[in-house]
Amino acid sequence: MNTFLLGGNIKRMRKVRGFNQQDVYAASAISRQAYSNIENGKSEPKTSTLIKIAQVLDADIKDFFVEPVKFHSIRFRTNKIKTQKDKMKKEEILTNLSFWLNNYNYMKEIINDKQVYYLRNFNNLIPNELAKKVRKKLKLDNDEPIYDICNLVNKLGIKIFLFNCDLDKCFGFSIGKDDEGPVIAVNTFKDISIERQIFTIAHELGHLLMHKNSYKPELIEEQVNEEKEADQFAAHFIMPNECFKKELRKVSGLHWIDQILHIKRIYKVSYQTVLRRLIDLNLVDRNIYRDFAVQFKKQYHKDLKKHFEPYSVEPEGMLKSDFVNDRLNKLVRIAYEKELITLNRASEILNLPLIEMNELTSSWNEIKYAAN
Amino acid sequence: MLQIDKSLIFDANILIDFYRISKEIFKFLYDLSVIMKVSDVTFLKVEQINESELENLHIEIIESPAKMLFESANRIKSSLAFDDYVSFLHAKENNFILSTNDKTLKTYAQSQNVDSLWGLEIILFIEINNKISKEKAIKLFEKLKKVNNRITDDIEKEFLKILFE
Repeated sequence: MNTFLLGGNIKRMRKVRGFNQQDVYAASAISRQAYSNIENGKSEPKTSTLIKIAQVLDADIKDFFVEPVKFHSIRFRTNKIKTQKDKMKKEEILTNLSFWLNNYNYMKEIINDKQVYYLRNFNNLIPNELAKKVRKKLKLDNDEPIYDICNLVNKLGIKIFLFNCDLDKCFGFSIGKDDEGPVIAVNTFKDISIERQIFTIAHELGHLLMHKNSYKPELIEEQVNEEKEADQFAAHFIMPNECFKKELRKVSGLHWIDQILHIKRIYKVSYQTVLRRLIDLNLVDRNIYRDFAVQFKKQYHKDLKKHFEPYSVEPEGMLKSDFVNDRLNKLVRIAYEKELITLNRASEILNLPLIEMNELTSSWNEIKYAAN
Repeated sequence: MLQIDKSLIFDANILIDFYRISKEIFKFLYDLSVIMKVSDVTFLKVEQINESELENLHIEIIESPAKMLFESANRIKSSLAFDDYVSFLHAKENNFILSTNDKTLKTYAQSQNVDSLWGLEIILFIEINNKISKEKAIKLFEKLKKVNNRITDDIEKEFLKILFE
């Protein structure tokens, strides 16, 4: 039994949750020394003690025993992560990702899902051209909005992992093919708008295609050029110029504020993405950000100025239902219905309490799965 | 004749299923001198029952050694959940009967030569031992079918066949 592993995991989970040692040992009714010995790997605690600690930390006891994983092909720019707590949050995200990824690949394997990564040979193109090419590959019409980005990116053989973490300015990251990926990880923290989450997927897709050599764990500094290219790719992937102009012409009779809101609703992008495109196309000047906020407040009585990136407020914002990532659910459903996994295992993979998992499986019977 | 001659260890689902359909099942098993156990980590999954209730139902919580938890937590490719595997290991190491309503877990246990028992077999056992009538057994079956969506018509036929044999 690796007591250092156990202690390290408990320590990480405690710090991520913002507890000090005293919070935990007092609530778990164990002595300071005993708790300290556990964290430092100096003792092998009884399971009953670990259960108490898990309850205080609101953690799954299983996670105390999981061996950490090292990703070798990862693009996670963390130069803004300074504190020990944030470093541990990053570690926890990666541990959870590793568990999720193992389960995802195992589900694929047992149901014989052959989906592979399609875009390995796309490179050396400027972002706008690449965005066009990827859209073409996905058989999207030039003026077709992307209704379901998760499903679309899944079709390319890229997995989407959602995590929820209050980690400053971390919207997402990605894992390369060599680590059983590719995976795009998206932060769904409550203050990050759905529009931003959608954009993050497209942004990381850009990195996966254009910056393959940047998938190194030791690189933590953001490269301004790479970020700019990924942003350009994302904007043109979600909202190609041709259709942007076409949509704008269609609503040219509306007040200019409503034209922008109309476009943002169609393409599920932030209002700032629409403003940026208007600037890029020389259709407005750079004062548009200020003018939009002033005029929007006048028209809709909501102040956008008080909210700045990363947690900007979206006028006419998207709903959770605009951003659904259900691929793993589908794999689990197939595996469960073929009796390849237990109900309990399904609940573990989807991170649902057993009773909710039972209700979910019952609900699956209401509409039969239209398999191929 | 159906016999339970060793301790039973429940998985999480069967514990929840029986608790939802009739707590009396546990009482009848106790009356028939069946020793009932659940692993500590399985019990954590069962939010509906607290420790004193479990005690009243005469179900003993057994502590899992850290080594067992470590082994169970690091099985990457597994059809079983962490606590399914812990229950399986307890059954294997202590010669218990693993009681489950999950075919995948039962099949795994059988493949490893660990005795296992369906929830429906437990209902049949308490009927055979005159703790409940055949009508009551059918009622329990129907209740179980409502909460367990994997009970098929074939299973129902088999259950009724054995019940009226």
